[in-house]
Amino acid sequence: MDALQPIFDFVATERGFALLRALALLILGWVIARAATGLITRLFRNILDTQRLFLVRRSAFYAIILLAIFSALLELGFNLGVLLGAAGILTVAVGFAAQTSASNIISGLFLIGESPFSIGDLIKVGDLTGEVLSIDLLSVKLRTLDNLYVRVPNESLIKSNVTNMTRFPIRRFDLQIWLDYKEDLAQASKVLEGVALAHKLCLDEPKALIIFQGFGDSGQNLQFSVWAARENWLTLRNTLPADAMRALAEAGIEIGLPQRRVSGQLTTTKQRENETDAK
Amino acid sequence: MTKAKKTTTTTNPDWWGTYDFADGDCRGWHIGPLRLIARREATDWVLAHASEEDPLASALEIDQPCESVTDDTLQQARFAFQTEQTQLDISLRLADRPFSVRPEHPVSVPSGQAVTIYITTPIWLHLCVGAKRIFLTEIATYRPSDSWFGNTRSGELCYATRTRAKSRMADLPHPPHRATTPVRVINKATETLRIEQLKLPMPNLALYRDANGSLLTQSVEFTRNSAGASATMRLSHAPAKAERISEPRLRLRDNRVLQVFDWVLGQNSNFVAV
Repeated sequence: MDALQPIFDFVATERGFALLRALALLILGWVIARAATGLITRLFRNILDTQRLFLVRRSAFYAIILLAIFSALLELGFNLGVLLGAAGILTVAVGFAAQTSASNIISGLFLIGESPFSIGDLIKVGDLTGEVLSIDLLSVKLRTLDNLYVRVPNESLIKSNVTNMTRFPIRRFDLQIWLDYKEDLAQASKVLEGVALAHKLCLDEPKALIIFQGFGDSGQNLQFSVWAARENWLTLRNTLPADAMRALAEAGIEIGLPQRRVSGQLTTTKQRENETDAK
Repeated sequence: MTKAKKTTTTTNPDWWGTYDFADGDCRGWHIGPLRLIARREATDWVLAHASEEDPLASALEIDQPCESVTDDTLQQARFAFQTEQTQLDISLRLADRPFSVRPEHPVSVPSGQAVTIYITTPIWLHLCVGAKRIFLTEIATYRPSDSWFGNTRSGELCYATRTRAKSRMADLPHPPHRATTPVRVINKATETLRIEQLKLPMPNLALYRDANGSLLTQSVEFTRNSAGASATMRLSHAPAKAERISEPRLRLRDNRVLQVFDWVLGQNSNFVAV
């Protein structure tokens, strides 16, 4: 008991009591922060996705902890104005030293807030296509279709176009078909509509579209656009062209091939001699 | 090669039920467009099936002996068990997704009128083995095309079917593999209702068999209310003098009122039930 006497004496002083109050504030702040994050999880888990929930929880936790630290420092008699000024200067210094990381962190916060994709989505960034494995503060981790692990900095995701290929439940497949110039477009359209109706994975609604694209070197260009459920899109893409080719062949409709028409004139030796004489 | 006692009795012989299989037995069924072959090899079961293109094919061959399941046109699946399972149980289910139904020609229902149309949809075979009914797989007697009900951002994957929207049940073909659903549309609004597309909630319906052995479901009732801006869909009670042979895949939470649905009011008050 005698050993603890100096502690009791210290606490009895004004400074010691202030330290005790500051400690109590810190502990209380930590407890409130933990309770608040738990409450947020319960309230928002059905509303927000994992990434946003994480962001809200962390923000609430650190805001409450920061308030508790400020209160504790006030109790200890610190001048917060001076401290905040010093913190500002430190932030600027750190910001200059770690510009790229800071940029990635801020980009990461925007990405989480904007949520253009979530874990498990298939996205395309530039030439890169892959499944999102994780969305972190500094980078997004992708698994490419050929099973490579790629780390994409958040900054480059913010700056470039990102295509989310699995955001919507259905997807369109566009098949470009060139028909020979002698073929009847109306008949070909009817045949292609039949192909779409007969294909089990091709959605009846939205309806298949047949769009005339123009006259080209290879013939009359039609775009045959059909819809499929996202998970069946690849199968449709691999099977529909063969079905279309087969149906067109059965209907006697020929696919257009690149053509060049060469025209000329036959001249006889006598004509050439006359032309030479004339010159 | 004896056929086991059926779980149900009727004057019209059912083609579903339980069948005993000896070791090495190979049997085939031809139900509408579906050809199904089942083979038992000791503790293994092999199921093979193929489907014709005609959705209204009316063939019905039950429990026919067959040679093998090595036909290339058949889609095969093998199931292995620890112990011998000597019975194959075939039961029936309605489709596992809703049907997006389009009348071949849009049907208009004037203000204050009600119309009943009959729509048939293919059924699914639910295959189990053994006394404990160990589930193997489900096979559609006819696999319809996919369709989508909704916009391109959200909606529901359905099966597609077209209907002649017959208003007399007797006018419909009754192939053994299709169940008939009566659909009643009541128009209480002041404008004419043009039915272009309907979504039939097949997973919410139960399957029945009437005294003639035909398959049918409860009727589905769409009511467009007097304000014209909203409507309700209800499922009726069980059809009269019919025996329930399979439960709905999904139970409705509330008292048969499924959900309020919207329609696209625009050109000719087109009706799209959700």
